[in-house]
Amino acid sequence: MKYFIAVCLVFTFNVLPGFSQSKKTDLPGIDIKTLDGKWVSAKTIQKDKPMVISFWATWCKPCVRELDAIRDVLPDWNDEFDFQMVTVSVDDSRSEHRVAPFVKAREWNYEFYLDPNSELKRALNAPTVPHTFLYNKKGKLVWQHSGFTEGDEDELYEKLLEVTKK
Amino acid sequence: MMKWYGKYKMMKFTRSILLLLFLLTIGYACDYVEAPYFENHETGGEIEDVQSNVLILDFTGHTCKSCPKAHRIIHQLTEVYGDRIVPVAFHLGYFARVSGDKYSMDFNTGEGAELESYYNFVSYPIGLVNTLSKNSLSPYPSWATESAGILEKEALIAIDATYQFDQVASKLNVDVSLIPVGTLSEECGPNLRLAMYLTESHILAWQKDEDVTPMDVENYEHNHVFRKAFGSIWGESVSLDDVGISNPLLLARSVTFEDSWLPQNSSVVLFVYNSETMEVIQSILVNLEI
Amino acid sequence: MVKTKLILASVIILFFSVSSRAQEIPGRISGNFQLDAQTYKADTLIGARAAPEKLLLNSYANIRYDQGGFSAGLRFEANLNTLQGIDPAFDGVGIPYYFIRYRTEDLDFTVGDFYEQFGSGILLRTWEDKFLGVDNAIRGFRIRYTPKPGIQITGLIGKQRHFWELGEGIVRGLDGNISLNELLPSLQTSATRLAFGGSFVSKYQADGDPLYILPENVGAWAYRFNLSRGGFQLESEYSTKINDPSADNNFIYKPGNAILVNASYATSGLGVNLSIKRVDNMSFRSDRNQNLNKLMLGYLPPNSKSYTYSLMTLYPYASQANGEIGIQTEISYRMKSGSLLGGKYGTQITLNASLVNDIDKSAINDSISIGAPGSLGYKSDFFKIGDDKFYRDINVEIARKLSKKWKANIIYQYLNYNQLVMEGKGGLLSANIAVLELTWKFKSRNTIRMEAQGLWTKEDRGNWAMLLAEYTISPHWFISVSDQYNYGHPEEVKRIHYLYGSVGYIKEATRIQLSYGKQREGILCVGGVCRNVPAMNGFSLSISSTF
Repeated sequence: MKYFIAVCLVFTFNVLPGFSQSKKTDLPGIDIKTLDGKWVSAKTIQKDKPMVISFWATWCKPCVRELDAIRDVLPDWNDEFDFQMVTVSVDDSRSEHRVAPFVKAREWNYEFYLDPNSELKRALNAPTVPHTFLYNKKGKLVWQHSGFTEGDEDELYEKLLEVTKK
Repeated sequence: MMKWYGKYKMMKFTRSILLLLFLLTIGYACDYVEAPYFENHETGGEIEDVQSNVLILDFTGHTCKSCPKAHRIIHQLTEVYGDRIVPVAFHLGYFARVSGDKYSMDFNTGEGAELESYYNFVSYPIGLVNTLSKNSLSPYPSWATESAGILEKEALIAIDATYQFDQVASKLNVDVSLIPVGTLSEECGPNLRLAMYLTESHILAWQKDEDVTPMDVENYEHNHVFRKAFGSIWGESVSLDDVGISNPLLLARSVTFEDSWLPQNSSVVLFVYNSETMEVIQSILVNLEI
Repeated sequence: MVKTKLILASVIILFFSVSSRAQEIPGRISGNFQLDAQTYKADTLIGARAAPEKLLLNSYANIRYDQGGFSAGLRFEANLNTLQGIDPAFDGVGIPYYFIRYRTEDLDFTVGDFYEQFGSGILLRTWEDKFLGVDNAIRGFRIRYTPKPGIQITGLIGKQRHFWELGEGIVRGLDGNISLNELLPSLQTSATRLAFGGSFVSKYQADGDPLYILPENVGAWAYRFNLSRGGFQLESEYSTKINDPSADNNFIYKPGNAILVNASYATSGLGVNLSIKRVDNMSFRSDRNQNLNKLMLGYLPPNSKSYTYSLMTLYPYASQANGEIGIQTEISYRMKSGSLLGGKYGTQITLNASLVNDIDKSAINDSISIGAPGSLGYKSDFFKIGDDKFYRDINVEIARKLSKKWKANIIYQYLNYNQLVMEGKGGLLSANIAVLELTWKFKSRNTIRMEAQGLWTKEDRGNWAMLLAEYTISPHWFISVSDQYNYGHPEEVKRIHYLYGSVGYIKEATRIQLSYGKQREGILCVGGVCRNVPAMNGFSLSISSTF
């Protein structure tokens, strides 16, 4: 453990500033899976526009309420802002295969990813689902929210408004 | 730093690590065992002067369907090692509750309830092998392995007991002698405790057993059932400071039987432990012949 | 103790040095913390025990540093003492989790603790769930290598977390995945996607047992095949292991196997799902002597749907590693908004059926009874279904937005639950469950949610009714009151109201919740891994925050 800390310190202060970075983002290099089974690094999913990432699961009622609520307002939001709406399901192998039919049947039109062992959820320190993150155009985390109650989508709308104005 | 390392070199390095891992796992990682699956004990069990016995506390209950598995491990160990295995079965907690017509025999004891609140058992069966430490609760499949290790050691204390049963008063009088025969560690000195329990075997009553059909077994033989402690469940403090082979520590203790307990099926369990580490130093089993 | 202090000091130094130099170092520090405290009042009627400590507390904090391909992190845990129902072996304070990870385009190293899953996780899945008291992270070394897009190889070696120590067994694993569409240029644009994979996992544990001759190295293999085209998807995995006598299988020497097939079809407004699972002696732990949620290496996903409505969680299904065969199907359909049946805002209908039985088991010969320890255990016909019913769940759910202000959700469920196999008491119970949930957004950001639930059964604790009302003021406040009433308990004195109230405050990623009331004895399951939740009576406080 002592060695671990020592190595940690050495790394942090001596080596890191030397690394060159291809793309700056607050998202860590953790792999998540697309619905057709391709693994991609979370670092690479954002395309030069503000991005919402909502963590959810098929068995989580408030998560489904949140994404249902956003489904109903998404056409209006899309008219107003240019942003990415990303969802990451933390369904494990028990219900992972339910995700694709689940989202299709609900007519959700988001970008979908799977995080079956909660790797990304853990790396972003979300203790539970639902948990929503908002990144600005430059990939910086500007806002996050834990849980969902009816009407929370309005707060997300306001935050999106702030982020897209800048 | 990384740039010095050519990409090619890095790949080669990685490949050799992967290959190594591969060989390590695939090459050596399977032990197929052929029947018979039991160890052979024909030559085992040499008798030495003072051997370390093994105290096994089995926390159990009559409606706990997996608990007979633990009883069977104790039985198998007793078949191999005889009285060097010193078992005590405490019926306590949820699965020892009296319920319905079948599970009407009450094996619960006040001492058992005391242990339950001390150990906060999460599941049954669970046990303690030669220790009373909260952190050493062990699942029944480990008991044999843990016992084997202890049985190889030499005892540090010799316990001896003689008894006399008073039929009229249903009272059992036990004379205990303790002699240190090895070197006890220093901190052991002031922390030694002697505990004495009365247990009863061959009690026929209902027991749930998931390995037989139907699961409810009538006339299941309950063995080593804890009945009563001679005094406190945690025993009494003893000092072996000025004690040697010529002048053993002598104690006389007694316990009174309840009417339903059969003296001829009963045993006395005696053990000495270190109340600091909660490790058991020596234990003996005395089967009453009355 | 000195060690812990030293570690703490180092962490604090690290933390402050990094924050003070934040301008120079472009990395990111993030983390979270969570605290759950509960007071315990004895209540013999519901079976609640008092705690000698009066108040019990589980808490943890994660700190993580990310910079380019480098990351490092640790978790501090303090359980003083552990909440009732979670193993008291978690009592204590310490840093049970720490790691360094470095990742380049094709290489990914982790040293320290890590969570990993091979395929569906049947052979290897290390994970954590604080509510369950599960944390079986591997401490060791992991390397992931992507020689070219579409091929990935993972190798690992380590020991699993066992409360504040490491388990006895050494785990070694190798996993490979090939995605044909990424690998072959000709297939890159194909609508048909094909992927293969395989894993090998082996564990080592010394044999010191004087009774049995035990295998010290136990190997297991898994093979995967996934295919998708358009809305159609097929995932399959077959796994097998060699003789692995353990506490779980009562020390039989039979090899184990499991097969898992998931097929689904999805198109806008319709989703259909079918999964088949057969498990035969496939419990896999890094310590053969352990039970419950300790040192699990494999994860057997249960073939049933998970629910969150209280009364629907009374009898949850848990995977039976020693043998089960099951099928689950789900059909979900959205009736278009504006259509005759769909109403103005559309209606979602979901049908689900799960059926699980025991596998067929017969004696090897006349002299050995089925499952006798120290034998090959039993024979099993792969295509035969055992007679013992484990679980049946047939249910229909209708969700409909009635107007701008009102939403309704109705569920009816028929349930068969083999309580004897799952909990070791009772028998096969059948229950009917109904749930009605209404959401009324009566003014902007002000919502009242109501639940009425009923469970009817002749067995176990009899009938239950439940009412819940929750008032939320987005985005900060919520307050809820619920009453679970066991009005059909066979013993009249136990017909008890379990009243429970909560109030909570949320600000962005910080959440505080205070509750008071009685909680019934029950089973909590996440993904088929369960623990007993003892009855409780008292206050509970929960705080969590992410930064």
